Amino acid sequence: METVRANLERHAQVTDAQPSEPCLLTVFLREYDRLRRIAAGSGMAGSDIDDVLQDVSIQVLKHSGKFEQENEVMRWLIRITINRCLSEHRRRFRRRIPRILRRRPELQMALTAGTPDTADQAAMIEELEIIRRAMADMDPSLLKMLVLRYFSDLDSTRIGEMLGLNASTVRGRLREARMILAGKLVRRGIEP
Amino acid sequence: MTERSCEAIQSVLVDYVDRELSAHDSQAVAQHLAGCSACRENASSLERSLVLTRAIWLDNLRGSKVAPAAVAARGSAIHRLRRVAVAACILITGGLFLFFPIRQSAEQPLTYGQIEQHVTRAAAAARLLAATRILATCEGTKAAVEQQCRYILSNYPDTRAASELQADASSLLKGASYD
Repeated sequence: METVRANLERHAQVTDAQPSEPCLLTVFLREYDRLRRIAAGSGMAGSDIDDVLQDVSIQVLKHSGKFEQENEVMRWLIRITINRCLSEHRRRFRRRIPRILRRRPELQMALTAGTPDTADQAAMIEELEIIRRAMADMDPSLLKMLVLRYFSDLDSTRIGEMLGLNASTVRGRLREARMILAGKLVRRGIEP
Repeated sequence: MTERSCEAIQSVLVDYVDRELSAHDSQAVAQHLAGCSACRENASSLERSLVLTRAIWLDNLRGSKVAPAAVAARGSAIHRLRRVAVAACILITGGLFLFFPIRQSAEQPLTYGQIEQHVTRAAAAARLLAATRILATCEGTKAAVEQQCRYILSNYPDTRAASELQADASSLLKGASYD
């Protein structure tokens, strides 16, 4: 992916010569890490994230020069990244590959490293699995709000602009998503 | 904000743990939490769930691609063949780019169309060469093999298949025989 990124960067330097319109490629490269986080938050992992961004980069090359405002570009980039992740989820669902529920022992070990008590460690691992499952079951419209707000560091107003919603709707959905996740922990009777 | 019920507190609890409330409202919520264990537990769960969610996201970002063993074991022969075919295509295409780098000046990077055209040509030439090799193993096909070789060399001279053919044409024709 780095080679593709380098090639795109070279391409961007040339096409940037027209200052009147926002260069799609420049915005894509600038927001690359944010899009990577969106893909990771949407359940993609490791090289799957690179595959998603590879597809997005091809779309960027195909649609170069079609946008007039930078906001429009950002909105489009976020939308196609999320849509690409969702279609990947649907494909995996059809093939019965529940990758979002993937359990990595490294994560469990890292989380329980500072907890010497075995019972506490077991509780932490259980909590982790509860949250993982809650995220897998969550409505995509709520999950994407969570990702954009808490993993891509966009505020409610900006998320609203990106998704064509008003800020209060975004805040409402964020609250709903957070309460779902917290509720799962409370209802399982685990002391937080 | 004055003394509030648990229900009222729940509606602002997310904003409270995210530190998005005004100082005054924050203080009122904190006062309520000090005396209400159920709301305190909810606030704690909100914070804890976000920590775990972020941990999962970060793990996704870092994690390497591991093929799920159970699914791989169930995969049919067709799926395995499909994977091998995809890997072979990637290797051939990568090899083509390594051996035949497309000459472009720094001011003119490749367009998507150019890359697509190059890959399509390389794939077509590779397919023709593979077919010619199969043809060469049959009896009485020498004339057809010669014709195929000429066609590949004249129409796809810039491809990996053409250079392979130049190096290998004599042995290819040796295997074939006239009627």
